[in-house]
Amino acid sequence: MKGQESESGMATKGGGLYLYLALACFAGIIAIFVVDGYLGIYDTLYVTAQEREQEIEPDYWQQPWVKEQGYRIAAEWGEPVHFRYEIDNRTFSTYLTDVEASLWKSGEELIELLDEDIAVASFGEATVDWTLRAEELEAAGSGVGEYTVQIRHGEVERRVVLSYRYPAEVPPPPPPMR
Amino acid sequence: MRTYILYGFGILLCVSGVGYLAAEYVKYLSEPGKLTCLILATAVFALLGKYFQDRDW
Repeated sequence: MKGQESESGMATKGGGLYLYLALACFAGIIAIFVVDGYLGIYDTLYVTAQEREQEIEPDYWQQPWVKEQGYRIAAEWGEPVHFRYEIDNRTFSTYLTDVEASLWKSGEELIELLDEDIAVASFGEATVDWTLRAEELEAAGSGVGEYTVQIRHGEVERRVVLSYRYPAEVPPPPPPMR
Repeated sequence: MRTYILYGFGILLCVSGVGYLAAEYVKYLSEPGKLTCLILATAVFALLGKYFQDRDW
């Protein structure tokens, strides 16, 4: 009887150990989700058009509709559109890459906007920026319409669909009443 | 009997919900992360099996 009790006690202890190990493994899975989600190369694009800055966060690029069609941005014809592209290197090594940005229309490259080699330190950030002016488009023989801004570095490719429209004409104020 | 059916239904919903969320989040994991999660998930089931075996279930 005594032997049986001691055996049963050992089984409970051993069982408890297995349960704790299972919980530790479960905690490990959660930790992997958190750490793996944090580590990597992340990019954020800021586009300033129509007097406001739009931030395209890394999560947006993962959305299926953004992957397929690109992120849409509207701009008025004649205004400069400013782009700021941030690369966040959350890895343990320096990220060396060539950042290329170009403007496309109907599958044809119109203008090369940027071609720059950058080195992003481990757990550091790097920013590149460029401005697209309507004069450049006019010089390339293009006008109001939709264009694709393609940004590439390494295996990453981002697309922003830039939609130009004519600025709304505001009627002049009526003459003052006498 | 009805209670057990409800329990079964609840467990099924929980498992399918957790499975759906895991499938969604796994998309964003790196390949080594996925492999490590698979190994740990296998270990969780093996250890839980051992735990219930020791409790004479």
